[in-house]
Amino acid sequence: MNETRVVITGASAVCSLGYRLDHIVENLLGRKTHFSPVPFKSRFFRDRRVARVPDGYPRSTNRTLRFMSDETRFAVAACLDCIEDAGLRNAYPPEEIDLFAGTGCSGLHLESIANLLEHSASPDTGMFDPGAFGETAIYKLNPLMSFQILPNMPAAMCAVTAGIRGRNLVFNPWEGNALQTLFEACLEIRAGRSKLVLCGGSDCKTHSNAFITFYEYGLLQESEVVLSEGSAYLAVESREFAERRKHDYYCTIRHMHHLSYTGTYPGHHPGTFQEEMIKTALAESGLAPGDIDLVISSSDHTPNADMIEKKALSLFFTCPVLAPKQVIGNAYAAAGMIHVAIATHILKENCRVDGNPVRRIFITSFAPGSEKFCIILEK
Amino acid sequence: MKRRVVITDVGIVTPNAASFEAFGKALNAGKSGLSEIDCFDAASLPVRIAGQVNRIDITGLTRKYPALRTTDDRKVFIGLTAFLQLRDQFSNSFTPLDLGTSLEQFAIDKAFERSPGHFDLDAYMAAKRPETTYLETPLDFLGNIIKATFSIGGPNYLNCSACTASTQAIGHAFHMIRDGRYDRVIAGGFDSMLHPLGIGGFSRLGALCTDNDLKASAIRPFDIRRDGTVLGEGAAMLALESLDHALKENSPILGEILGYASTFDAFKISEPDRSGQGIAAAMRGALNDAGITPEAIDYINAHGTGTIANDRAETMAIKDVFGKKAYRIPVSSTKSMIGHLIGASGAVEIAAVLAMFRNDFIAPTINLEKKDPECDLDYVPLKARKYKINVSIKNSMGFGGQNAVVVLKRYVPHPRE
Repeated sequence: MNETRVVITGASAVCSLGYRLDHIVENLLGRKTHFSPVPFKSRFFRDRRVARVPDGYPRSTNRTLRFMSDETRFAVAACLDCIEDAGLRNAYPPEEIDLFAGTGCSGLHLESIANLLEHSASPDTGMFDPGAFGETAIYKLNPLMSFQILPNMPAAMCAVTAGIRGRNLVFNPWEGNALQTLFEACLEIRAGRSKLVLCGGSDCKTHSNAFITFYEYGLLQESEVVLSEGSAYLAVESREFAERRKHDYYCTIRHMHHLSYTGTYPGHHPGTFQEEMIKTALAESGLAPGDIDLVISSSDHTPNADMIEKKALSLFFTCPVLAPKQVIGNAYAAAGMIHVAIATHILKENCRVDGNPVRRIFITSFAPGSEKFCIILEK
Repeated sequence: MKRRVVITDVGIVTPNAASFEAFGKALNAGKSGLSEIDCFDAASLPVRIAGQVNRIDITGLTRKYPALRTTDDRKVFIGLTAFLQLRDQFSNSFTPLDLGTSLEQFAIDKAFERSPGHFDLDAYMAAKRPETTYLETPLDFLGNIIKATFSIGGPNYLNCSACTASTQAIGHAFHMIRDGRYDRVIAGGFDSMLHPLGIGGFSRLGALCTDNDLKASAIRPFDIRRDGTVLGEGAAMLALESLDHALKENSPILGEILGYASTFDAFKISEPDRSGQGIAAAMRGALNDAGITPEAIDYINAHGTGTIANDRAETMAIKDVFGKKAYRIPVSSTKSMIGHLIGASGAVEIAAVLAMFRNDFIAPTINLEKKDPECDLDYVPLKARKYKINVSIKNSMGFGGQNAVVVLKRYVPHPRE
């Protein structure tokens, strides 16, 4: 999809490197990592590091938010910051602000149901006891637990907190599905159904249940992946309307190339579609590899996939390659959006990478899940 | 010119029927699918009534499709059963999937099988064997299994917008076909909350009817005595095609989608905006997207959950959009017969409208004996009504304040089609 009429007019991110994009980019370019030990007791997992959002990120005063999951709090922080960055207060009626989001929100945090689990076992057999569960354990459950684990909650709380009443779309659970919302936003704007879409991704994979789940999916055994958390939001707007309200835009979405690659779950894709995707994205955008000044790669510390991606990128590009997941960990549903937010900031602030100016950035998203993307942003 | 989008096949499993034809008959007969839960031991739970799907052949499906060995999540088996009912499984084709569901099931019994007594993470992990099932099956698992098993190319979209998920999935698929992105999409929903944490969690929210003695009449949308919804499980898979594609393939056409819209309430996450303005805006948006006026609508398939707040808000919204005509439009709640299928509810209820198109009737709101004075529309109480619906809207309202509305039309072939 070649779409120069769609521009990004605001961006924000909350991740392990901070909660302001200038700090995040500065730390990223300085290769500063903020990995810490897992926040739960375990000796089972080989790599027991996580990348957590530092305390102090801006929190809404909304009372309900206090009872929500970390993922939802990250999403609200990023979304509100994006709204400020894009100057959206009073720029559009609430009904004309759309919100498309990708969420990870993967199930229960075991720490949050420890009390319930403790009262659910039969004292005789140690197995799950439905009687004890119904008579005692269930009353140890926070009534709002259902809201903590519903995957639409990050987007819903953004809407409640920011007063957004427009159209909406929520995909789950991978990086590619979150980036699908950016793709859909571009198409909706082109179709004339949307003027402005707040597009985001959020996730929290630093809890024990995420480790269990990812181990069961086969995503932890072979990789050096550091599970992470965070969120990023972008204000994706029709250029016409951005210009009409006299708001600067940071970059255009020059091109998004999408491929659905089935059979990739669980584990990683063995193929060489990465090379084909890069080639097609460049051809469709009418750009040559030399027109790209910076690549932000998907590489997520999975040896096989990283090797294939590195080889594919080296066939085309000689420019610097940033691999943010090596520094901020992999926040899955948030990761791709964080990469795009970083790219947007680099273009907006005229950041130099390895001493060179950056005008076009090529972003790859080849992570687990069926949906893969190559995105080209242009200043 | 926008392409027309039609629905050409339905695979469906609900608490009161196991096929599209049977579903139509059950709706026409006002047959309830609610019963005592027996798919797990719910005897000590405050809520023991649900819309349960019976006779799902989990063992047989797992034998036939070995990839299912890693899950015991009921909604996956229910969803696959619905998919297998489609005339064509689209093997070796490029056919996007666009499915809606709500949330991952946490298999609490598995946690203790692997770590008896006090749950211990390392004990659990050490006891984990490759052949054992996931503690939580990812939501896109069903789509991946379908696509891998039948070698179906194209995207695997998983919408997770709570109770509006499958309405959103179908609306999104509709727009994709209308915009010319694809000729055909399989869209729908699948869900099951019938597990200890599903029933337990929702009962703690206070959203469920706890009077288990009511049995099949526990859910009473728009009735003055209603005191909550009843959870259910089920799935519906719809084959959506562009009209041109359907005619070329000689596909039987069950109905046409004219429009779709979604909105946020931006009110509270746990209850709808009492003024109903969120769902009213979604209805207006869908009518606008369809290019028709409220005058064209002759039936509304309500979200109709049977909660006090939801039924009142939806009634207010219908009056807001349709004015005086609201009192002349039949409105009914399919949930009165099957319970609230959460992420699958929209798809199953769109299938219900298609069944009504096919058999010229309006499904009733069963258990509605005395209307709430604030719910004063024509809800087609107790018995089905013979009626030839021409254009209908399907409302969905979700936890978190998401609303989605689809406009459906009886398909009448043009003489040249």
